[in-house]
Amino acid sequence: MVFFVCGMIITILCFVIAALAFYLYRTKVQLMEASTIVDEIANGNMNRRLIVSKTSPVASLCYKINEIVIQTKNELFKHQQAERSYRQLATSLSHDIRTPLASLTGYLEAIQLGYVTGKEKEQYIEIALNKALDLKYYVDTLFEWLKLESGERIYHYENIDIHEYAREIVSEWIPQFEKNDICYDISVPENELFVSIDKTALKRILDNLLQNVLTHGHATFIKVSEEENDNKMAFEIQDNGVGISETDLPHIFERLYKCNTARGTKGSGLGLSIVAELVKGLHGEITVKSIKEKGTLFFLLFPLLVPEKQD
Amino acid sequence: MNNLLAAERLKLRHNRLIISCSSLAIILPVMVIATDIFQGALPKYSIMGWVFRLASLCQYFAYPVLSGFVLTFLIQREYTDHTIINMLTAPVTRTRLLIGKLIIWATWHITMTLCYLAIVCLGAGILYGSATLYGSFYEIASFIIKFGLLHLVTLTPIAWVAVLQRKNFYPSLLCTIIFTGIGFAGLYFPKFLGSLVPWSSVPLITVPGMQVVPVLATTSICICAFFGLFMAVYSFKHQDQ
Amino acid sequence: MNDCVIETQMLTKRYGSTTVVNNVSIHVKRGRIYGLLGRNGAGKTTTMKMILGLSAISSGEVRLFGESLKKNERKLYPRIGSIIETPGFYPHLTGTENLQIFARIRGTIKQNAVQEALKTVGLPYDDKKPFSSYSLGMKQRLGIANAILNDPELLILDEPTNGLDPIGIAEVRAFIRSLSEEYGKTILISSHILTEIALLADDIGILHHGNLLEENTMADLEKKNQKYIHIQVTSQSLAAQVLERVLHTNNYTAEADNSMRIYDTGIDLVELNKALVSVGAGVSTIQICSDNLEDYFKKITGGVGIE
Repeated sequence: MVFFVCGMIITILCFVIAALAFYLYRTKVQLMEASTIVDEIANGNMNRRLIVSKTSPVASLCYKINEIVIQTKNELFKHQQAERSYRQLATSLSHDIRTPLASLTGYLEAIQLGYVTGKEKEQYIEIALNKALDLKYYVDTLFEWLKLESGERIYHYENIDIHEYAREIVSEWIPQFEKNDICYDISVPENELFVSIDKTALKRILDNLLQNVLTHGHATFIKVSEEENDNKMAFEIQDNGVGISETDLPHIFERLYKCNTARGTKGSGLGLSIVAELVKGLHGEITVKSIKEKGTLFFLLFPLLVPEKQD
Repeated sequence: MNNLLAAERLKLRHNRLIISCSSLAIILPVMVIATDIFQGALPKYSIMGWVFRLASLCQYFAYPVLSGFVLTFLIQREYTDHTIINMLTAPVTRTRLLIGKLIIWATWHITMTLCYLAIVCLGAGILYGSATLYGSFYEIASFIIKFGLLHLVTLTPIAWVAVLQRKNFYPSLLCTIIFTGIGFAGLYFPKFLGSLVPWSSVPLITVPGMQVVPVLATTSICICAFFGLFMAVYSFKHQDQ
Repeated sequence: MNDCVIETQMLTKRYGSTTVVNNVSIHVKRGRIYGLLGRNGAGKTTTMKMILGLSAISSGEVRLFGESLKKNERKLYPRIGSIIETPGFYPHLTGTENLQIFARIRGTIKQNAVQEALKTVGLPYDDKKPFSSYSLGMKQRLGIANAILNDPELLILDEPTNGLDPIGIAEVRAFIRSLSEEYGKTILISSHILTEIALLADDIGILHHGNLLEENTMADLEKKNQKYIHIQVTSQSLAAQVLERVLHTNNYTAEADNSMRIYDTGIDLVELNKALVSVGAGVSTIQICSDNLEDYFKKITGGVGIE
């Protein structure tokens, strides 16, 4: 009987030891497999993951490593994307400068080679000058935008009567509207309201949006309004022009994005991205609604900063 | 393997076919025993005779068929639901996948056999009294378990057929019925032939007092079991999806 | 690190005397979307099945992540997510239960992997709806959730938009794009719809009757698809001036190596040539590039084209 019991105990112990040994061995194998995968991650393959069974003793360790790898990878990806888009930008820019430059030199060469004389020559010189000015304007815009993009622009907040200032900006555009046969409706409140804002930034935003209506909108009517409510300043610029197609709409604030119809024609593709950057700089919001062939509505919202809080 | 079995178990949740097969396997002997209790069929049979009579209905016919159903269903469903592709692209070898299925099936089969044993013991206790049951418990248990296990191993070729047939189900069901038929008809086979055919050897070797060549019967059952297992695994391993 | 995630060498599949896939050598590069284009029955699914080791290879070899698939399945499968043919799940179980089953077999990368995968594709976690009552779109989503469960490096998707409505197609397409762009996954996708591949793929392989007719980058093919007049001149500036003054168009760009693209295709080539020559712009090439992708496929598939 004693022998039997002893035998039983020994047998059971043997089984337990065997099971433990097997368990140890399996864990070791799993750790070794994990180690090779971690080596591969260390060698730069951030897409590699440790895959384990939920019940495995190394599960929580592996899950943690995965989490770290995923985080690192996401950050790395952001960097790479920024780099890639800068490279794209460089190519795109050289392209955008080359075309108007080619055209400009074309006119000058024609003059120099004597293809044109007299009055036509004068005309050519004028065209060339205009083109050069356009190019200068483009380069200026580009410079401004680069400054914005890199976060180097410093915002100077000043106390101004916002209604008066808005009226001032828009009224400067009236001759242009009239020249292009555009009816206009401007509504800005009469009262005084002093706020703290970067004057040049606000002017740039409105100018760019209005310029856009003129160059791309082909509108016959434009409505500009400014009002203050709910501690916010709201601007609305609405036109009845060609509108923006649904496929273009989500991208219009991206840098160098040009709607298909604008390819090769006037426009830097920077105007709206400057607007977007400036609006962001002023802590405002911009939204756009557009229906093809019906018109476009830009809606701007800025926080109302009372003068006491100036920098 | 642990995870694989856990996954197989998860698959059986809310599974109507398994539930109905299991309940059928339990209800059938219960019904028969209940009728016996009401009719009082006692004097005609000894306790073992009664067990054999019950076996001829349940263990000869119903259980192999139900077992074949379950096995067919376990394998064939992976093909009809297209889940086989998801299973095969998991980092588990095909052999393990199939073995996992067979383990689940064997577990079901054995559980059902044990349930049947419990039911029979309960019935025998009511009909013949606990004293008689105690006396022949060992005999009853070994008979029922032996019968169940031998059935289990001779049904492995069904797994092979189930793998080969993919989305179909009638070939393997037909095979199940043929095997069962052979098992029953085997009682009337000549001694040598009965022992040669694995499916008829099962009852011949289990039920005492049958004309059988034990060595031949055991060999044929073993060969059948291993052949079925091997072919099922082999075919599954080399199957194109 | 090997640049090709999938590389097949002379992959061939024969059923008896019929050859379904014939000497196909495709190269799927890391981080790119490879579109396998071909009509129904061209051998796309069979090729994918061979790549996944689901179907035996008659001759040739499959290399995944620079390793031979044979004997390395257990090591390589965790790195791949796939949907082949229709997404297969257990109809009586819910989406969550289904994913839990596959997570159990394959292992996971985080504690709540199933929940997150379902969230990513926009399916509810732990709801009561069985898979059998899912709509086709939901089924396809669950398939994708299963494929991305372990955040794999490589995705093999066989007609992932098949049977979806236009909105579903757009969603899946955007999702696949983001998988590639934001998560840097390598994706092999098959389709019988040209536009589908054109919208998604970076590289393209065209299968026709089991043969790989062409393997190229999409960018190369797209060049053939744009509509513009391509000219090459000695003086870009003179040509630009001619375009503006004589032909009255601003719709052009000046490219590198003295070539120019004129998007205003209404211009008469003879007139353009005459005008350019008259100012001495030295024309060396002038051609209309208007090869349409569809025409191109018709050409290489021998006239039958692709739906």
